[in-house]
Amino acid sequence: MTRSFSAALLALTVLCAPGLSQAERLADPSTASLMVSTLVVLAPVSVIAAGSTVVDHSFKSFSAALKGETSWTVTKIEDKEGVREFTLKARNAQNVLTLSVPLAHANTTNVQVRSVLTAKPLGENSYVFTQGATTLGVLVSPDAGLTHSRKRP
Amino acid sequence: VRALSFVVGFLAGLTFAASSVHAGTACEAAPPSPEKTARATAMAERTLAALNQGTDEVSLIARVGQDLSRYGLEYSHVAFVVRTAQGWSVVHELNDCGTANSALYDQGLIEFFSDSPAKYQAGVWRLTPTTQGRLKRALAGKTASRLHEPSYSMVSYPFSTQFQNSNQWVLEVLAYALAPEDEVATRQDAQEWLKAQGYVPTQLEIDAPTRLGARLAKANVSFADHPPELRWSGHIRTTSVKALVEFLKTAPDACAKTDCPETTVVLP
Repeated sequence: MTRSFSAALLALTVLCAPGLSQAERLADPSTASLMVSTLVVLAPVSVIAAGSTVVDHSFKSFSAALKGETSWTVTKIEDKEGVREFTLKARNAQNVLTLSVPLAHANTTNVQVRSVLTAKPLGENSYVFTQGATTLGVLVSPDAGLTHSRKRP
Repeated sequence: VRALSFVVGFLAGLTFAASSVHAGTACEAAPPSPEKTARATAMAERTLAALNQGTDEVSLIARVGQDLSRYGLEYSHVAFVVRTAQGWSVVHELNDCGTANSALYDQGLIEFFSDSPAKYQAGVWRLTPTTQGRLKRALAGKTASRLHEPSYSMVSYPFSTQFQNSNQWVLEVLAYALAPEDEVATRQDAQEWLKAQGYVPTQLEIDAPTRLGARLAKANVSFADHPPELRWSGHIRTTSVKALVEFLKTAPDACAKTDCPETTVVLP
């Protein structure tokens, strides 16, 4: 049975960044200003069995697939409303994974159909997808609390 | 008081950059690279694992926003890290895009390490259960905001309520948690308690042209809160992470262990 996974890589948005050079920005001794990136998990992971029935929404299931297979071949590329979707198939052909990458970043990479991507764990709650030395993006469990940003009123 | 001069080079540089850097200008979007995001995430994962080794509810966490090692300082920015039902959350004051304002934020560990750090290193300091309990209530309630001053200066004077930098906010909330019940209700109370306890800030040596240049070029630098005798002699006292930790080492019942040992998390 073919299992289909879809996930969104972290979209990187900067709330704001001062119009300073890197050296000047780093020179603040006491605090970092709000050049912090806001990392947005675009969608929960969905794991879909053959057909279209959603059987699981957990990162755990997604993680199990990535732990079982680190090499993924791009089988389809499609642009949709600001993102580029890469359909990936595991070497064992049992798992299919769809990754959504912000178009602005996707355009800086050279990922094509038949490219092979590597998924490597960064810890218990995240994976990085790379093509050679190029980082395509980072996938973080939405349940780990690792990424959020709220300004207090 | 230790004499330091780490701000001087940066402030001097600003006097030459004034034509291109205007105080309070609108922010520009500049997304961090995926490589930096991956590094920040890896650092966040390591820190998460270190935090999860214990059962603490609140700790102090610091990062190396810039390399200050030549001045004897390891960390540039300190925050509280709080265990919540959704995982760990960093509670800290951030300067708003180089303006003269700041706000309090709740952020994930990835955001905490995404700010172009000079080095992927974190220091974590464990606190006593009593201190943790008072901090947790303070950070969840109105005390955190009551002790926050939105008027920001990078080099705020620790015994004035006119401005506040990010490390000073942490120190003043700590004063609330460490002082006897009902002794610290306001920032002034916190500062009076800190002074009475012998808190010693970091001292920077900054000459007059550099101070003037910085004041003209940067909205988030002001010396107006410093006592005239110190200001005009170029002795600028402010709150650094090191000064804060040194204070904690002397404060009774502040840290979980004697001498307030640091747990260091490093990403190679």
